[in-house]
Amino acid sequence: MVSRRSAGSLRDYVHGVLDKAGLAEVAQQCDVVIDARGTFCPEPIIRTQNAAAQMAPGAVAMILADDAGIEVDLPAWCISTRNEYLGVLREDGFLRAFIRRSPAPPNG
Amino acid sequence: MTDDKIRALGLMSGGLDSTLAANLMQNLGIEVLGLHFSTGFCVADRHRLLGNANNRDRPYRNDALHAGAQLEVPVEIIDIKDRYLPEVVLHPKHGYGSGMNPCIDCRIFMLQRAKEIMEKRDYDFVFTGEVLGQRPMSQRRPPMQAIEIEAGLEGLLLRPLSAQVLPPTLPEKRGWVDRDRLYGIVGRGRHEQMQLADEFGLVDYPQPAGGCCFLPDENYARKLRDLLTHNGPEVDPDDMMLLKVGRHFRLGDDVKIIVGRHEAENDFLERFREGRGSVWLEAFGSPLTLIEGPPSAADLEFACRITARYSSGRKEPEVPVLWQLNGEQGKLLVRPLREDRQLEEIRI
Repeated sequence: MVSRRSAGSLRDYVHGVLDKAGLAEVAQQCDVVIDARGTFCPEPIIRTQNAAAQMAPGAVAMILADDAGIEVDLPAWCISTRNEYLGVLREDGFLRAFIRRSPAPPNG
Repeated sequence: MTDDKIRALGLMSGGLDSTLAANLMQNLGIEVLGLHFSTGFCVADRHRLLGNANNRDRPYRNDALHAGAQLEVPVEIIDIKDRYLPEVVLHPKHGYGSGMNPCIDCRIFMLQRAKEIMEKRDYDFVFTGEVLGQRPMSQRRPPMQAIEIEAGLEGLLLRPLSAQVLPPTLPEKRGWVDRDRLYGIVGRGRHEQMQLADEFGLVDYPQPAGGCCFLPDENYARKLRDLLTHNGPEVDPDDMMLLKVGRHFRLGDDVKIIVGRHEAENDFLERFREGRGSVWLEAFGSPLTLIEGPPSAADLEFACRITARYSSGRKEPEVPVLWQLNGEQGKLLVRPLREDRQLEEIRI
């Protein structure tokens, strides 16, 4: 039987691997900016997925969004596609979320 | 491919059946990529865009992505919105169900896209979570066979939850999957699927809630037909989005209004205010009303009266209603509309 994440760890995954200071640092040097403000889920994820397909392994993307759904969908997408979810910064009226491209995405 | 692992594409809505099907394929050693099609008519998307009224800090999730995370199966969202309306919804070869739902054509369209991906990326077959007899239109034996053939996937479409009561597919005949380890579930009940979920250790899945698409909903279908009648088939994506919320009233051939039903809908409508007229009350708890099209003075006054009807000032003899239109603002003192019949005549 294939093992899977427990409900507990699924609840935990909304927290990224970097803290606020780490994210602020990454924001200064991210490789790709994906502006999905004004769109609703799943559009921010679609844009992220399409951009990620062009990104080099290890590259970092910053996703700008004002749909709160990205806070649960982006971490889930990262787990399922084995990209790394770095976390999210809440700004005034929008969110800045960060991912790092997996070195070896599955089933590309 | 780095090894000889069999690879399959699974259609994943994120519901229990498609999650079970993907889990079952994993258990049989198949490498799975989930495809989640975004049609623009997803009910869950509406819940999500309105937000979780009970807890604004916990937004609703995309179930397909969540299922992918739970199974650690990659899920790709396939955006078919642009083609779906003209090619599937407006001209279904196999007709509509109870509303404007072209379920058979929808299934064929999605599977055709899956087939394209299968061929382009060297996958071996496609599977779905369909259960024979579960849905009245597309999950009966004859349409399931027709869907498979019209999608160009004859023999390459596996429905693992009902496989034992369907003809063997190539993946079974070639031994890629063991038919004995598939299931023969039939009918609308969910008992067997829930037992299977227990067996697989799946604890967090959406409860079956009567479908995931707006199109079978007669109220929604009426609004969509009205939009297509008055705007033609080249509809604006924002107009489509606005069909999902509010009370809709048609004041004239080219004028309609959308009245928010609660705070979450008002917040949502607020995002579409730019470029549209709007009406609201300041002195009372009030819906936000958006005006589509160029209203006459009489239309504007009527929009104000309707908005007042749904405000907390509805029992007042007269209330002040604010309006904004083409960069201008104003205030009208109006009698809240009380005549039900008058309202029902223009309700979409």
